[in-house]
Amino acid sequence: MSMKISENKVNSQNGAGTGSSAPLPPELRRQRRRDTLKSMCFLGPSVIGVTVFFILPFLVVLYYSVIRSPINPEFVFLDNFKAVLGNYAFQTAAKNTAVFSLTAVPLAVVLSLALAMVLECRIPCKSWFRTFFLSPMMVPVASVVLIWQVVFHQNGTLNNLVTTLGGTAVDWLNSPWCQVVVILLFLWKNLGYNMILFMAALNNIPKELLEVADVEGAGAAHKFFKIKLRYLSPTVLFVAILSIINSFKVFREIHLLVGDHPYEGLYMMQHFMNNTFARFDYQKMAAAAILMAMAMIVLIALLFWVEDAFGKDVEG
Amino acid sequence: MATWGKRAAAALLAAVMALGLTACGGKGSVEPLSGTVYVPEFLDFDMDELGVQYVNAGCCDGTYVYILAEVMDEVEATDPFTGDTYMSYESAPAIFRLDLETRETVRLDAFTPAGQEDQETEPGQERYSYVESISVDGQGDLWVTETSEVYIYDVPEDFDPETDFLWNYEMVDHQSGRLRRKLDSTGAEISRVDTSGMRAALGMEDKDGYVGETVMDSDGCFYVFVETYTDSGYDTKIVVLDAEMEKLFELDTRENWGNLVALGDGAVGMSLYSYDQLTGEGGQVLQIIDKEKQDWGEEYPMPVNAGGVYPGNSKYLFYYDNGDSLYGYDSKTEEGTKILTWSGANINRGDISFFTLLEDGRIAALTTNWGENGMEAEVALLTETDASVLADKTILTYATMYLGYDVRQRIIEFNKSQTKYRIEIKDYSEFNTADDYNAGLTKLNTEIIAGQVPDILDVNGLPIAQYGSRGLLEDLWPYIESDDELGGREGLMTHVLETAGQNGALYQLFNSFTIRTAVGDADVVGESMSWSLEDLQNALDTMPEGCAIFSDSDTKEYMLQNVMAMQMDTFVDWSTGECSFDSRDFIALLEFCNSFPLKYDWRSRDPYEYDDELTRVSEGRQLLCLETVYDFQYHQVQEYIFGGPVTYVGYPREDGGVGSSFEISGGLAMSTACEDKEAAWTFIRETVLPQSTPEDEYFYFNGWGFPVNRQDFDRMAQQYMTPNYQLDETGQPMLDENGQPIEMSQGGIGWGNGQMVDLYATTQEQYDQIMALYESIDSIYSYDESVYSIVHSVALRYFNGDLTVQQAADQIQSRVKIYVNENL
Repeated sequence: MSMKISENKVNSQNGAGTGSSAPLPPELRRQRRRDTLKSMCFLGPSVIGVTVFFILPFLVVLYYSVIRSPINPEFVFLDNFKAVLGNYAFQTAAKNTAVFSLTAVPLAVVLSLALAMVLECRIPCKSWFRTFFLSPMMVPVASVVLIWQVVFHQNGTLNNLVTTLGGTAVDWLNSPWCQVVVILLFLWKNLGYNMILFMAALNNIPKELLEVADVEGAGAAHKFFKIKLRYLSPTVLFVAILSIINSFKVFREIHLLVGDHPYEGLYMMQHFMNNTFARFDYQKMAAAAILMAMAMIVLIALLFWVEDAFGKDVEG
Repeated sequence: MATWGKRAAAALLAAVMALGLTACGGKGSVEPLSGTVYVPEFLDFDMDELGVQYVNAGCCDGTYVYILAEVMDEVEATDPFTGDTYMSYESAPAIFRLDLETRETVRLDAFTPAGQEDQETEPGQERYSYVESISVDGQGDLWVTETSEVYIYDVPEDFDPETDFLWNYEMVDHQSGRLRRKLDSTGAEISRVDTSGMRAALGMEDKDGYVGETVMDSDGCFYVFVETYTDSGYDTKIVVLDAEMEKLFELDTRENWGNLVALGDGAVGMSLYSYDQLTGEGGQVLQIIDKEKQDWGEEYPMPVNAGGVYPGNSKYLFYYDNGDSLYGYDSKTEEGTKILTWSGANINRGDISFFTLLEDGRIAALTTNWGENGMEAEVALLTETDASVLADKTILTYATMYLGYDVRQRIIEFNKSQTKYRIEIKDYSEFNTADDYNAGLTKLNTEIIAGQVPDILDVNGLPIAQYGSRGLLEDLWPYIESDDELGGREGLMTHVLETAGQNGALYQLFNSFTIRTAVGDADVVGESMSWSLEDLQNALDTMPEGCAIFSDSDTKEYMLQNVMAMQMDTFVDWSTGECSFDSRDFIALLEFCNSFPLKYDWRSRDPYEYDDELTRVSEGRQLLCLETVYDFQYHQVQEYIFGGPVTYVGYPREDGGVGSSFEISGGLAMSTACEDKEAAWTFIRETVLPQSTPEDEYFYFNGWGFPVNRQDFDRMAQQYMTPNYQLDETGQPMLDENGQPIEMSQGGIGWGNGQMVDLYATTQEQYDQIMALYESIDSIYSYDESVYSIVHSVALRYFNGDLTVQQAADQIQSRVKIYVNENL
């Protein structure tokens, strides 16, 4: 039905513009031209900005990814992609980034949602807790890194505690434990903000529905999965995307903690990008960037699909 | 239709982008230079004809160039024994005037050195005088600063200078005088200022310190750099005196002081490195000495690599060097304007005695250098000309991070000798800043990425391995093979070049090499040129208790650096990305380094106790000597130290390889983007051309170490192996009691304790041993800075006891493997 309506609309518009109908009066044509010009003036800056800062750089990256080198710009098609996919450093970076994101992002979503729900309950000192969880956002990155170094250094606070309790000191940042340290850092920094988003979303769930559920004897789990989660799904999607983006940005903290070439477990995709850029290996970097962009597109498309599947019946 | 429009627009955008990129990749090496260049005209100043022995200084007023020189004057002398007269030569200062219009040079005969015209030398006195500097003022009058020294000896009354010498007697007094004299254009004196009283004005005696550089401002005040001795060292200050030598004020020099310089506005300033301890910021500046406030005045920032600072004029406050370029400093903008590149004007900056920017924009410069026949001087007049005059020449760009005197000279000589080609130097160190000492390298890399690739690269300080693996550099083997004059591969020391190559390609050509190795007593370390850590330990076990492997001042870090420089590549396969830093071999090396002291405590050593390798080895306190083998004769020194045959055993290696390495520097590379490779090769090949020393002359290799050119290498070997014999009056070798010719020493090397070894001709056996070492080496003494940085940072934690050796090895393996694979 809707299809027919839109077809009719298209037909009527086309009819107005073809010779089968009477031509538009000159005044109306001038008006339309002026409108078009005006709209182009408004759109122009954005179009130029997007073109110069996004489309052209992307095309440059695309170009670099299919040539041998800037000095020898021979077209090599997929050779750079094959080389990157077979590269140990890229594989390590991709694996670590995937492991980190797949661990940290769900944890960030689940824990912040849990915190939001706890703070929704009638508990004392709610506002204190809210402030407490938001406070990491106010701490500068350099200070965060300093705190983490003091705590997780081999001769740091945590190891002092471990050895006092009779354990063996662990080189947290240079051992398989390293990702746990960074996941903790990520969660500490991001839980508060995510929690606020969930609290706002929880407030927007229609109270009548929950009251009806209560009257009809629905359990807490039933209410959560069948009502709350459905209404929260757009926020879950938003928080998930935000957390994915933040999970890529955790490179900043890692770099300040352990530098350009950290222990294998902390080597992230942006390490690979930064280091190849610093050595002007644009071909490798460009190919990796495109592969990463494709992965991001697939991931975000997947999230949209999930959100669509779960929350479509509650959206207006 | 709309869809097609969008597609067309997208295609157009892509095409525009592609075109833009194509433009980036364009090559400008054969395009004519834009802007202007300074074309030199070398004026006739024939030193032989004028009797000039050497040139001291010069100046120019726009019409004349005045040259202060030392000449050999012919004087009549009398033989004290026979009374006969004969013509003798006496050295004396003289001033020459070169007319820039007529190009004629005349000697200013009216000039007489100050110490010689008004005082007689008395018996027992020795008198010297010399002219320190010359300048010309706005009226065309000359100013010379002259010093006279009088040494007084305690000679007997009957002392006769014709039959006796002053230096047989004690010197009892020393007087020095200083004058600034104003001369007219003929050299005749107009006026004089006696500055001898400067020390008195400064309140100093000879023993109190040293009076250094003196500069005058436009008011005639003197700015004197003074160094006074103190109990703890010395203090430095600037003392300002008025024209009557009365002290006005003094200033303590700031840290990192440089030179005093007269500024274009009449004031005086000092170049120095300013550092703010609070902010941690610092940089090269020129700071004014404020006469009114009697304090340091305004600071003018300069580039971090700014070198010499020169007096200013009405156009610029002062001039300064940065790399190979001359800049004029504008006090208003606080920025330098590039005037010219010296090598672009075929002038070696290191040879410049003086230069003056004339009112008409030309530059007059006097250059001096010591050649084979003594000093050579040239007067050059540089005229700013449109760069299109060079349009018919192929321009080759030469990228460097440091331009040494010799390379600069080679380029200038190349440019002078070539009609088709011209090399333009681009010194990227000029772009370094106080904040970023690698800014020059970053700029070079950025330009390479943008397609502005230099034609020739001086590989010192450049990531040659990365450039090579990125396909940026040309393999030089085909050029060598097709070069008949070089004699192809066989004309060069192929083994060292092959070792320096990457995957069979040779990306740099260098003219000499040395060998880094460790030497030991053959009886102790055996005769093999490779050994393992276990072999080393076994050798050490045969030595007395407490014997050190190398010097007792060698530390863990020092050994790590050496081991890495020699053996890093044995743990990295740069072609596959495989690393073996977690192997038993590397762990053993870490343990080996860890066996040395963490730090050497210099305070523990008695400063008055003499100690050196010779003593330590002879007393059994040291097993090996770390050496750089740079000629065929030093082997004898090693045999003397160890008291017998030695072995170049090198560092221990667990893979069975040789622990000695070639050390190379000063290589040149050609970029693959170079459009005229023949032209680039014409210059690069000069690096390894045989020297032109005639067969019957002493062969002195113009380089450090062994020549890469085989002909030169063989000549060097032959020269070292040719003995010098004592000759009798008929020119025949004198024979010893066994009828053998008596060989003479070719020199010797001494130690601080008085021991000395005489060096004789290299024997065939010694030569063979060095050649065997040469042939056995399979590595270059160099390392990847990033890999070393990772190894060093982790190893330090192991050395400090924070990690076990296995943990350290695992961490290094993990981190280096990623780095290496990034570079594949």
